[in-house]
Amino acid sequence: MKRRIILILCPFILLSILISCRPSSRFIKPESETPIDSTLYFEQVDISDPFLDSLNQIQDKKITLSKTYVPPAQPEPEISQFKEVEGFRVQIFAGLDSINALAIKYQAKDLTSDSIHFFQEKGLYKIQVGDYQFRSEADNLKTTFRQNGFPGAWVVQRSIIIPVEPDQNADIEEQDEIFQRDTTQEKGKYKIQVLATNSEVKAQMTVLDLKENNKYQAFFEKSGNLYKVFVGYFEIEEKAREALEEIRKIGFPDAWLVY
Amino acid sequence: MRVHLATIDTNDVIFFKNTYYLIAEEARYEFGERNQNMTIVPLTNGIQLYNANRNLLYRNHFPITIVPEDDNNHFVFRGREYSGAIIFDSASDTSLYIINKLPLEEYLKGVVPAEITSTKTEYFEAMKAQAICCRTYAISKLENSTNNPFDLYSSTLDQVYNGYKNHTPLADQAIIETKGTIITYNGKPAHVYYHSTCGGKLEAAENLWPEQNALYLKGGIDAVSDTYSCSSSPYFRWIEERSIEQLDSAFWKQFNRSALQQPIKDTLNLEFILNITKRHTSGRVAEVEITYSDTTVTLQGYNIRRFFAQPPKQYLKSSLFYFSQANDSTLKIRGAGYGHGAGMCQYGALFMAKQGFPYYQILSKYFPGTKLSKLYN
Repeated sequence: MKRRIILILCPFILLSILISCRPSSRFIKPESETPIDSTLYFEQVDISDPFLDSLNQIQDKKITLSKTYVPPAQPEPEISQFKEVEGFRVQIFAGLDSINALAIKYQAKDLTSDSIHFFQEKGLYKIQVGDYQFRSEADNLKTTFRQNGFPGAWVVQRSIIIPVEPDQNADIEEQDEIFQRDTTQEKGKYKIQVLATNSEVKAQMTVLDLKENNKYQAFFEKSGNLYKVFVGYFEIEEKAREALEEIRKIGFPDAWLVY
Repeated sequence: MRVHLATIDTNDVIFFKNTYYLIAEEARYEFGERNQNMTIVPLTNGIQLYNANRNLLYRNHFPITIVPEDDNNHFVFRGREYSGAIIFDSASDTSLYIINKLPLEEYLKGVVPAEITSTKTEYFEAMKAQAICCRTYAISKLENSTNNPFDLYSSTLDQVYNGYKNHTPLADQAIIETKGTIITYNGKPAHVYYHSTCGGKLEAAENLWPEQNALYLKGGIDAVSDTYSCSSSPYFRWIEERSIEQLDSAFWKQFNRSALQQPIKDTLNLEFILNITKRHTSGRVAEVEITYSDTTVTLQGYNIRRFFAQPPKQYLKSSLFYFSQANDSTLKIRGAGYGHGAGMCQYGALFMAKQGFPYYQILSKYFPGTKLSKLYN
């Protein structure tokens, strides 16, 4: 019986000895650890962090932002650099021959540095020289042309464009009071119309002339496109007529009585 | 799930990639093979559907459903490809809802890739956690929307849903492996919130939504060992600046008061005084007092993030910030994180997944005290 048992156990004992002696078993890698369930972690409460540290330390203070705004500079009002006034030119040619007119234009250029206007008007080619506010200046040029081969040169009156001097507008504003009607003097119903022109400058000049030469009040008013220069007012018609005579004598023969 | 894709009040077009049917009382109209395009025209209390071969007119007949012949069929709407059925329902007398109806698990395949990175295997456990969060949110919305024409918006109003083309194999696998699993608390779907980056500090839900009584959203530090979980996020720390002009513009939009909306005619001295008057325990700003000219206002909650948003109509990245001055007229905001900070931090979940945490440990970290329940197999 004993022998039988030993015979049965012998192969098992032999097998276990063989397995335990197997040299490769020493080099078998251990099975990798379960990656997830056995993971242990902790949360460190005091992790140093510049942002959260400063958030804990700072006392929220009032933040004051300020800025001053200045309104943008106003754009300069546009001032016309030129204006149209009633003035004078010297006309040196008026004819149907445009080629001749051109030739004359080039000749005129040698005689003056003023502007030379070449244009067609009412079927005629015309050449006019200069833009003068005052007749005396035009007369001087006319003389020059007559002495230099243009005996037919003559002075014509027409609208001219002249540059506005920088402070001229301001002057005009200042002068406005001079040219305005003095309502405190309006005691009569008679007044004398001295002139009617489409040039404001001419009206202003006339008022100034009248104020210098005449003892009466002068002013101008705008009526449509015309500037009308008046002297007045007069309470009595006789006085008005006396003044009218005087004004006609000083160079305004067309003046008339208005009432 | 009935997912709101759009509300239209002018013509729009749907393109069918496969066969779809409009089953009406009088007939079954087929779209897809020969009628690939369909123009939708909202009418007063009605709808016109037409293409080169068909012209269908319905009045007071809502909702109208167009079903796919096969579950794998797709349609394209506004450049995005969707699976499932299309529902047209009345939004008002002159406008229509375009709704996509599809199974919940299919819907999740369009949501999870839009909400979290789903292209790297190392983040797989985070995808599973995200899938469970999205499913839980959808289930809780589903329970409360029985009488509504749709269950969810496809935008950040609910969960971003980008349709079929947005699917990724890993996200699909994460959804399959967690099929039917949701987070519950006291036997009901939990209030599951998640956000991009907490900045190291989670917010307690009771500070944001006290009415929801979500006690399991407790807030606190979000770290694994000695590292903040979301420190790899590009929004972990940020700095923004607001000029006095931008603040004036925000004041105009929110309170209809401004000094700079009118042309400046006189020399003007503007002064903004900003004061953080209250913070939550996480450090997030709970209340800001702003004095501008003769007006003082107090901002709370989402209004804080809305006021300092740039560009307007969005939100400041988070309310975990403090103020300093860049110069006399410029405010510097130093902040941390992106989003409200309550619930699961997505960058934190990605980090944990990378560290080897399984999805249930991620979820138990962010929603402690809740359980995972399997609704269906």
